[in-house]
Amino acid sequence: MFFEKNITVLRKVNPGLALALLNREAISNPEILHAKNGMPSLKVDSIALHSLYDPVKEAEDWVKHHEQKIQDSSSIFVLGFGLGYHIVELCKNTDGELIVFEPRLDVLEAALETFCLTSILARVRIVTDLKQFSFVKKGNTPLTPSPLERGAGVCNRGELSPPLGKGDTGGFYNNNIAILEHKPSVKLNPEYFKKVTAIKSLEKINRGIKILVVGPVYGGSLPIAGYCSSTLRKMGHTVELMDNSRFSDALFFADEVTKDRARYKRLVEILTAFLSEAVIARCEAFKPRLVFALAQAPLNAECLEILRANKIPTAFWFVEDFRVMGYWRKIARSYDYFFTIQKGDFFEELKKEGVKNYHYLPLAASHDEHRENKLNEEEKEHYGSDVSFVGAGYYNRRHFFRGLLDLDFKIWGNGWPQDQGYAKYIQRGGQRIETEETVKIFNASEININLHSSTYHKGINPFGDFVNPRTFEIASCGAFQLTDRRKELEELFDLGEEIVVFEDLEDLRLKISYYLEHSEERKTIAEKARQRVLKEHTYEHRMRELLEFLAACGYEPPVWKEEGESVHELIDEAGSEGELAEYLSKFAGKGRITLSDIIKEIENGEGDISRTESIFLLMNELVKK
Amino acid sequence: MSELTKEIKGAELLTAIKASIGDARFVAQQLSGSFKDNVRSLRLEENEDTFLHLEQNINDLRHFMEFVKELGNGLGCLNELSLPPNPASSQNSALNIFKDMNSAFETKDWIMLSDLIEYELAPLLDKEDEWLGSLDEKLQTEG
Repeated sequence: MFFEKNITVLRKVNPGLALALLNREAISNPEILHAKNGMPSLKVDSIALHSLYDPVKEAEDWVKHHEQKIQDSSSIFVLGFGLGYHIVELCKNTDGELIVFEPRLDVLEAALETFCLTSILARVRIVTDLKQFSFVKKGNTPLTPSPLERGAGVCNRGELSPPLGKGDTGGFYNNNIAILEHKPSVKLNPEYFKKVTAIKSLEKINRGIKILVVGPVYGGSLPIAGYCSSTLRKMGHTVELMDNSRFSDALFFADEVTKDRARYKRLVEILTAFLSEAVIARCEAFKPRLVFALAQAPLNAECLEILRANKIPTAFWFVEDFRVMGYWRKIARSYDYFFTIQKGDFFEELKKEGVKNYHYLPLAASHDEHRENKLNEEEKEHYGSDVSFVGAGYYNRRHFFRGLLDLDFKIWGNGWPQDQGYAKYIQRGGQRIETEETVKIFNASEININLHSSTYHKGINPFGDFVNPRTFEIASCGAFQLTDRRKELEELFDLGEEIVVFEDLEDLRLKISYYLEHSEERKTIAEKARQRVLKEHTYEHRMRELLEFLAACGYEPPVWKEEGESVHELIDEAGSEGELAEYLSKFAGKGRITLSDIIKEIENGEGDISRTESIFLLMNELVKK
Repeated sequence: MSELTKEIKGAELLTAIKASIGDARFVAQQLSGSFKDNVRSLRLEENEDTFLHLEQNINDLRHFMEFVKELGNGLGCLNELSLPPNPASSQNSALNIFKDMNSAFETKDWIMLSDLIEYELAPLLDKEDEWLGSLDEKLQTEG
């Protein structure tokens, strides 16, 4: 009856939704009924969405129940539209921004047919597709910036979001959000609404939280801990890295001092206990909102229990092969969030172990470290070759690479045999190669071989699933690689277009020969791989996904008694347009500030003292007295 | 049974009924209020406490209805008094409400359940309270 009229308004304010409603396939079952008081009501899947006696009173009660939240918020997210009774009532009670989430087009259609909602449609933003709220796992969609960030024209979390003009709401929501649930609607689509409620957690996280990153003492996850820390810092979080690599000598000492494995284990336990205690000590001082540990991080069960008892959320990124490194069984349940580089069988195992909140998070590249590199002739000569490999001499590599020893082949890294066959190919006598040089090698080599390690296969692991960091790092450098086939590789790269895989030694040799002759094709493929990494596989993407997962699981930060005041809250209180708020916005990156922070800033500043600054100086004098 | 025994038993019954009506009214009023609270949380919160509270109320309601049934039996023995009819038993209204509530429970239709409690059950309890009040008055004056 009212559909045409409503859709005309909707076409103007939300053309995408109007189109979706007009093109909707008519498969639905909403049933419009008349309530006892004669008003329309609605049943979907045999469940009433509104009272069948007095839906208006019900909506009034709903608003009354949420009165305080409505008053305290500048943005209100309503979960569920139904026939819109509660939305109409809500509009009468707030001038704030209203966003209604409703995944069911059939329900919206029923509402638009039943009532003239033109004024509501012009007032309220209706969201059906959550991708509009950057809940996409992959891609560069910016996380929602606060009004402060928008007003100040600051790019959101690094370079991903362009600054918006003042007054441009850009479709984003404000800081101060209330989420109001229309319960029967939520019950109809619980998964959808679970994602919406994650927005609030994410908003808390995106303001910047304190994260204590705990790295390992030694091993492959050590650089990853560094990449994660710097990425999180770039995203606006306050990060402290527990760099445990300073204790690597203690670990090696334990290995040297005894041949008795039980004794060695005991020594490692003592070292782990010591470093765990250090983590607790840092938590007391640093007051993190999240402890994020990388594989092999020295955190024992006792320490994790203490963190849990103190409600400090913990996340663990297990960047290892679960089939080889079985220690995950002992620790996975002790973490609040568990991230993996494998899924499938591993997820089954995690489920069996009763682990909750686990999530697949493949490895990535740090484009700050692994990037295109202009090399001089000397470097090209030194680092370059037709074919190269950088990495440790695992069993399968030692065996497999013997089949390439007739080529212009350079092997960089440790753990390689020093026999006659290999000797002339091993560079620098088998020393470990640091990242800076690794990047040069990737850039200088015509073809980088990437063979995932295995301790028991004679070449390619036919069951290999996860993708190693080297894959992303070579690609991030814009260098060409030939990599062994991995189960999860084709989800991450377009095989043949962005990455070329080899199936066995014969196939590898054929491809080496082909690509050495087709340098342009090589460059095209390498550039596509680089673009793909920049688009989807940097640590920024991973850290964003990690934090989104935390939010989706209902992350709640621990309550620490903190020094100072939240800058965002101060700005909210000051009113975002005012002189004071504008002044405070220069502290936006700090999270919390004290009066002495402000005084320090004024003292270090240049030019005339502004009115706001003089008030702070006066306040400081009063405090001193 | 002799007339005298009947008379004594009748008097005892009447005393017992009079004594219990006050408590029964209190229970009816409490239950009505408690169910109304229940409706609020059922429509707006639907948390674990809501359902625990609801379960407790339904249990109490069962006991109350058993009492009302016994009261009806007792009043049946006092047929010389012309007493007002119990609203809960007229046209099986309570039974119909319980049937509908049961079906709302089965489909987990909490709006329907809330409606039944708010617009059918709670008013019925209020009527029961009124009925008990008028009954009490009648028994005090005539009994």
